[in-house]
Amino acid sequence: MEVGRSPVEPLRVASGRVTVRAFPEDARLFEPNRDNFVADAAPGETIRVEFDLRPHSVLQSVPVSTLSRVSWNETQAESLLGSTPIRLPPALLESNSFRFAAGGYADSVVNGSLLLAQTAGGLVNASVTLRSLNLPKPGAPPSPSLFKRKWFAWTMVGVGALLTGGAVVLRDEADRSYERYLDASDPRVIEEEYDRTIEYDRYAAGALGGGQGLFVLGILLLVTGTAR
Amino acid sequence: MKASGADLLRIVAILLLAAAGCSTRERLNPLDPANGETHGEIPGFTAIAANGLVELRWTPLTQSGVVGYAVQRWKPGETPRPLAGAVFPPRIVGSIDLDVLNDTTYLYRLVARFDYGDSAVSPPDSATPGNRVIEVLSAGLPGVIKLSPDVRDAVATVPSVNAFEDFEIDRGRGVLWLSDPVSGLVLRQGLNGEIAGVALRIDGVTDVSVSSLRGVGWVATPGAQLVAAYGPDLDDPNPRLVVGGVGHARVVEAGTLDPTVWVGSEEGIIVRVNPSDGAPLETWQLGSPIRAIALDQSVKSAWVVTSRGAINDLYYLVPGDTSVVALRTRLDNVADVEVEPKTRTLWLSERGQPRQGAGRISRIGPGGVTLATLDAIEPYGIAVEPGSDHVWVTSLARSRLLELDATASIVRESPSVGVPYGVLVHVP
Repeated sequence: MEVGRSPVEPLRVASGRVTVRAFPEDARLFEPNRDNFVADAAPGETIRVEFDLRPHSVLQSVPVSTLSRVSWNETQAESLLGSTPIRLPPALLESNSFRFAAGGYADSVVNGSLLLAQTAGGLVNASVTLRSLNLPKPGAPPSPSLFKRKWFAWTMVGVGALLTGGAVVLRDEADRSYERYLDASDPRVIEEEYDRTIEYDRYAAGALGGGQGLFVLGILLLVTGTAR
Repeated sequence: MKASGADLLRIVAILLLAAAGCSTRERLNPLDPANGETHGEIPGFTAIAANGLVELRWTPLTQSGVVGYAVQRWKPGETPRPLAGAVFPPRIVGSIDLDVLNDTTYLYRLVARFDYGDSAVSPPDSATPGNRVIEVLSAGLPGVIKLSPDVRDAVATVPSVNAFEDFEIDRGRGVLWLSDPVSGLVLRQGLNGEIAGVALRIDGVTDVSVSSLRGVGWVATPGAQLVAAYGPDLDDPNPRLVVGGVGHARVVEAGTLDPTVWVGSEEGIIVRVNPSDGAPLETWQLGSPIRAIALDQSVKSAWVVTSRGAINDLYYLVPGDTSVVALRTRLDNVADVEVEPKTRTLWLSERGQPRQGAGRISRIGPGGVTLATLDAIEPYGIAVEPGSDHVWVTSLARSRLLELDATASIVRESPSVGVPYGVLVHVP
């Protein structure tokens, strides 16, 4: 039954479950969770029901931030409400302050009444812009080391084997140059062939040493489990 | 513990560096100017002096492109010039230069010609041809080494089973008599090692001496207490004369100008015997074991060295005079004595303590006075250069043969001949 415009005089109702529903002036602004009240009334009990039908306010922030209610009571406790944008009842706004927090930005604590006033009665959203701390952007997370990659270890083994084989070829070439050196009678040829021999010897030694090193290290990486 | 990536890279770098630094090749091509031994010159070329000729030997090069060899010859102070007719194809390894004069020094070098138009030369080698024959007893071989007349090269080596105790030369026939106490043999061989006679089986042989006058060899055998004469038939193994009653005969010296034979014994007795029948001519009692005898033949006398433990005494014995007076005493380990007939002085080698190089060789004049001395060597065998006042002595410490002049100064020395302890010099 419709009982009229609020405030409503006390009404007598039968005991049992009582549902009270309020309708805002602008019917488009109904919100079932806000506008309805259900109570089980005992015989002789007086139940006082108050509705705050003001529209909820939407709080935004730049950037998106977490929003906490700051209760300036003795405990200084805060309660996390959620992240922006968020809809809050005006009553909550009126009696609290709110902390906006986002990574890389300075926290901003704003009085709820100011926010409520900013919403112009719920018609517009209240927005808070956080001050950037201009912190450097975090670098990309380090990629895993090559030495921890199995394909790299196998590559070392393969290249090592190839280099070792190449060393044999180079050594043969050095031996042939040395034979030509020993056989030569022309000082110019003698010098050329000896230099060539030494050059090939160095290549061969480098290939052998490097090849063996890579081969052993590759095996080592595989065996010790450094490579995954 | 796990190695980090940086550690692994570090290990690889070390291996690479180590491998790169391990490469060495010896510069063995003899024609390589950077060869540390040859410096690009042809190795293996030698000029070996002989009597009236110089033998040239070389090791052919194994390198490609050799089209031939030539030899250059010059005298000291001159410039090298081609030796006439000395052009050889690559396979030739030696030649002989007959166009030489004895006792003249020549320098030679080998020239190799290559197909690319250039040539290489060997280091020069000198040779002084002559008719001198030098035979050396070597304990290192062991055996006999024949040296070239200029003592620069060994021209022949005749190895033996044992080191010979002594050797002498039959100058008339050019035959060496060599005693081998271990085998109980006396060998006779030519100057180039050829067999010259039957081997004489003489147990306990020690000393041997040859009278070049008749080619008779005298052999001392202390154990048998006799000396025996063999020859002149080198194929006759039986002695032609045996002389007893000389005690434990250790040393025997047979003269040529003075044909008598001097025998020294362990009992310290010197007996001078007639070589024809072995009859004693004179006897001296020196009281100490006889170690060496050197004949002063022109006056039919002898220098005698006796042994008193580690020291020696020197006597000079004159026929007709039986007195015994030591001219020098306390000599240090005398190894050999030899008379240089031109000045009638005695060369005496004192070895000293073995392997110390602290001995000396001295030239002793009449009366025992020292005329010249060379110290700080370890001398052993002595041979007088025939017709000269020079003497040859083996140096154990230096393993070389030294030629000394009358002042005991070194005139020249041989290359190493391996523990030389005896020397004979013969000029035909």
